[in-house]
Amino acid sequence: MPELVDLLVLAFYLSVLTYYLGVLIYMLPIPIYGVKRWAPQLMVDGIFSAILVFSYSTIQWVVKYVSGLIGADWSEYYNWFLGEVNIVIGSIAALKVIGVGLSSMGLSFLANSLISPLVSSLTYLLMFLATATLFVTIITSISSTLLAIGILLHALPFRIARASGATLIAIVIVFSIGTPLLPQFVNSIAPQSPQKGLTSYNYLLADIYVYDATGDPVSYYLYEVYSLNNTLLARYLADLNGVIRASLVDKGLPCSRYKAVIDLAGYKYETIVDPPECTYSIRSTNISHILDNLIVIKPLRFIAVFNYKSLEIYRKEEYNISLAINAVEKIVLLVVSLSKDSINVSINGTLIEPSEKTTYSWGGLSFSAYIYPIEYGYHRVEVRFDLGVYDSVEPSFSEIYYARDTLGLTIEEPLSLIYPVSSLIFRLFIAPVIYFSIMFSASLALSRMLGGSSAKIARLLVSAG
Amino acid sequence: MADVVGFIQDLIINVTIIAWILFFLTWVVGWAIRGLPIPFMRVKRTGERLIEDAVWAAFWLAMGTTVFALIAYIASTFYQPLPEPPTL
Repeated sequence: MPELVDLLVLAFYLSVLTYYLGVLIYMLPIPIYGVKRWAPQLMVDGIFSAILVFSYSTIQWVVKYVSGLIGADWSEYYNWFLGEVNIVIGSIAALKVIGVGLSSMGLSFLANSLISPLVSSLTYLLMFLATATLFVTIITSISSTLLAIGILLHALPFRIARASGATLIAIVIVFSIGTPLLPQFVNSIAPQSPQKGLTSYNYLLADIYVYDATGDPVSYYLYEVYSLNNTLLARYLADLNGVIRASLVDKGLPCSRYKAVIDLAGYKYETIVDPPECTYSIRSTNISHILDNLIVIKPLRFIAVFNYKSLEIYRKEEYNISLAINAVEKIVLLVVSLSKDSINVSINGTLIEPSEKTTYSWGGLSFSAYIYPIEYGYHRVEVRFDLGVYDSVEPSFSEIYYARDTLGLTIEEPLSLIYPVSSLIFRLFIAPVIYFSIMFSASLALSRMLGGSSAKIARLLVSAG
Repeated sequence: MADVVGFIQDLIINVTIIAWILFFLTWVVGWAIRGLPIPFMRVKRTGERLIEDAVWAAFWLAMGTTVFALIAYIASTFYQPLPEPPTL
């Protein structure tokens, strides 16, 4: 790589040579004026190229000055670029989640026909964005060398490479000044779409399991998902086996930390959940919770102990349970069942009455809650349920699906997927292409001012572009 | 790179020498044509124009060094640190 100064020295001597060649032709003792017309032109070209050589620093200074004047900031440009790349990558990941979800629902034809083309176009978009940025980064990082090469080409005698030299100089000047303003241009013609971007569709496909202290599944609990600022994001009702299939594509869970409220017949447990990262090689995961002070006897019938020191379960049968409780202070035993059931609780072999009984309704079913205070000490407790309703009953709640209701993702409406992608394509492909065309035509105009390309070449290039 | 510069410098010297030789040649040829004992004014005027061109070219040839020195001087005079752009 020749030194910059060498290039400039070479350019200077080339312009001197051009000048003297002009003088030489001026002196030719032949009266052919077609040849002699070259003489003044070559002399002027030589002088002009020499002016350019000596203006090398001035050109660089002007670029810097004008950039500062119009507020061009490269770090802002790169921040914008990285932000947009993240949005595109996030959208690709979100589409992959949706595609995997669709495949798991047996809708792989939808995944193939709709999701794959969208992912491909986003990949092309990413490639375009990266290539364009690489192009301008190269142009600006070696701008001083390019400028020197442009001046050298400009100085070649007989206008051999004058057009290309002038174009190179003009491109370096225009792109160095203009590129950092690309984000402002894009934002002004394609404002950030108010619709949620696809990145917000980035969610977790997971099945939720809740177990009691004995490791048995808890049936028919209500699982509410809140954001950390207490916005309700999702509400799911578990089935008889205590499972919530939130791995279905229209359900899902947030990827980020959330607050989970497990509501079992009106008794609520709250916990903060750190879900596994939304990885891009999507497999649905499991989220389990264990309620260690709760023992489920039958669906929607359970007991819960509060403030105990230790809890030991001797026997758990179909309708009764016997446990040993070590209470260091006064504790509470809560028994919840459907209102039609009857409950027998004996402590140390003595049948006792509840201190409090509440009847209430939850999910369209009527429940009774009994509170038994237990004195401190070691107690053996037996609880027996006599079921009033043997048929399986289940509570009803209106569920809120995270993907469908909170994120607004509907598989039935392909536009909801296509629109964010096309708005991204407009923002990150069409708008930058327009801007680059503007800069390119400005470069051509500037190169004409520098004695560069003829109008014909410019017309050809512009119409080709 | 230095070789190329040296080559071009040699080329410039050669071109200058050839130009001086051509100047004398053209000057002589010009006067010869102008002094021809023929009554064709068009031919004679060609000779006149040759002399004129040769003299002007000789002037620019002699001024060459001065011209480029002037360019260097003016360009470096223009490259003065200008005031910083106003920041908002």
